[in-house]
Amino acid sequence: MSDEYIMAKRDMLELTKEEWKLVNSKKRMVGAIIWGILEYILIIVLVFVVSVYSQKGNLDTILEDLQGLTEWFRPGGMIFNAIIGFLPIIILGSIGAYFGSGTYGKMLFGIARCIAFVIFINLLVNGATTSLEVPSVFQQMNLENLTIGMEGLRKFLTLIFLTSILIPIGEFCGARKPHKRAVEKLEAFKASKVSE
Amino acid sequence: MNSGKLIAQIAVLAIIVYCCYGAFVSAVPSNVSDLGEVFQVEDMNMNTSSSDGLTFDLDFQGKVKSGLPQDVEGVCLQIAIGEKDTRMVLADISNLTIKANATTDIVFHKSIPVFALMSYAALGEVSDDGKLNIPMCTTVAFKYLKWQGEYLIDMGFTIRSDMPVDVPGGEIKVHKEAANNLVKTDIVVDKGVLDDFATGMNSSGVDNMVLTCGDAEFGIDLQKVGDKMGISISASGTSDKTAADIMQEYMDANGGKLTLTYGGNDYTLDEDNSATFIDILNAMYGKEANA
Repeated sequence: MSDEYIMAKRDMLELTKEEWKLVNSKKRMVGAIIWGILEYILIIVLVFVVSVYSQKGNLDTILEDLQGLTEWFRPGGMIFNAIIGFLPIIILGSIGAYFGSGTYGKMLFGIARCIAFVIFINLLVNGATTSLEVPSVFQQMNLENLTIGMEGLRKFLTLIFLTSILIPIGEFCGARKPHKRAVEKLEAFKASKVSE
Repeated sequence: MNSGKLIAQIAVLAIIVYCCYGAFVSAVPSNVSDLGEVFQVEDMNMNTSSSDGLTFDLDFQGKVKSGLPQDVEGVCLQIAIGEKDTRMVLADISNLTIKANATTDIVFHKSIPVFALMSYAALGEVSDDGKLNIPMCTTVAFKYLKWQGEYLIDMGFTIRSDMPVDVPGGEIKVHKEAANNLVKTDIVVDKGVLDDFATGMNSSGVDNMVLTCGDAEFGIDLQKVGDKMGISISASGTSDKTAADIMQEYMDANGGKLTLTYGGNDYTLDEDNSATFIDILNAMYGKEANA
């Protein structure tokens, strides 16, 4: 067999970008973990900035102001709940990235992620004692404080994330056959490399 | 293209719309040509009067015409004076329901002893431009759009506006004496809400009043300084107790209400304002003496 023939045969066996999404991949998981960590740091910084800004109306002395929010950092406090509660969502997303579409793993991690979101929202609302107080955000507008009742919003978001469980299930059903084909192709590709 | 995922996404959207459509449709007014028709405040009136110069009567009347198809519930309206920790409630309407497609009357009356309002002359800091700012806060809260037993719109906010009082002297003088735990503040005011109260009291012939509560005394002395109004506020107790301590004890023993006596008449503050009045006295005692 000529080298050209082998190269052509290998191209045929090489998985396309779409097909890579269907098989399990460690590389994708590592990428997702790195992104997850970055996302988590971003969320923490964002929560700090928003909470300081909502208390003071400016960020001139953010480090000192953070100490004034100690109550929010304690277990049950809003910042504490937000940071701890978001952790499972990040972890489930990162590990779930290992599985390709159409696998049981991908479906189960997808469902678990939706449930983690529901728990996160409920934790957040409990931490804010059913109403979120946003003092002095708009000091220039003479708005001294703003209170938003979270109970209705909590139920609404819970409904959205609970029904969203259908999405990973639908994805599993739709990708099951293409997933099996992609796995077979990958096996054949590996076998051809061994036989060289 | 994953058709299974697409079908699931459409199903999720359909379920959410199905669950909320009814709630939204029944809460959003139909056939609205003018936004003003949805919510109108009519015949709003706030009268302040004082029959004897010692009591400040606040009458509020208004009509709210709602074109919303659902009741607006849990409506609260509060008007208060003072900073957060020494805030006295002037008007408080709570848990009112504004009926759907109807006109709701709002009527409110409250009377507050003027001495309690005058005590704001002893608080705060005079700014560099010679003004004492007394905050007036309006709090509004309401709930709307009922869904699954909860309200999707549930909010409250406080709008603050400062009422400036001109202070020609540029400062509040604070004098203290240890013998009877006396604290006395002097301020000269020109224009503004304090001047109005003081002028009202003065014209009723009250220019020097001492209210008592057991051994505690709270005094207001109004003297003309040139053509301006000088207000002197004092509080005194005994050698080992401040006026605030004595009043606190009285309040605890009398169901949380504070009653002060002047000229054989009793002036009683409601529970919230009694606690605030003691906070105001404590804030007075907390000031550094400078005269």
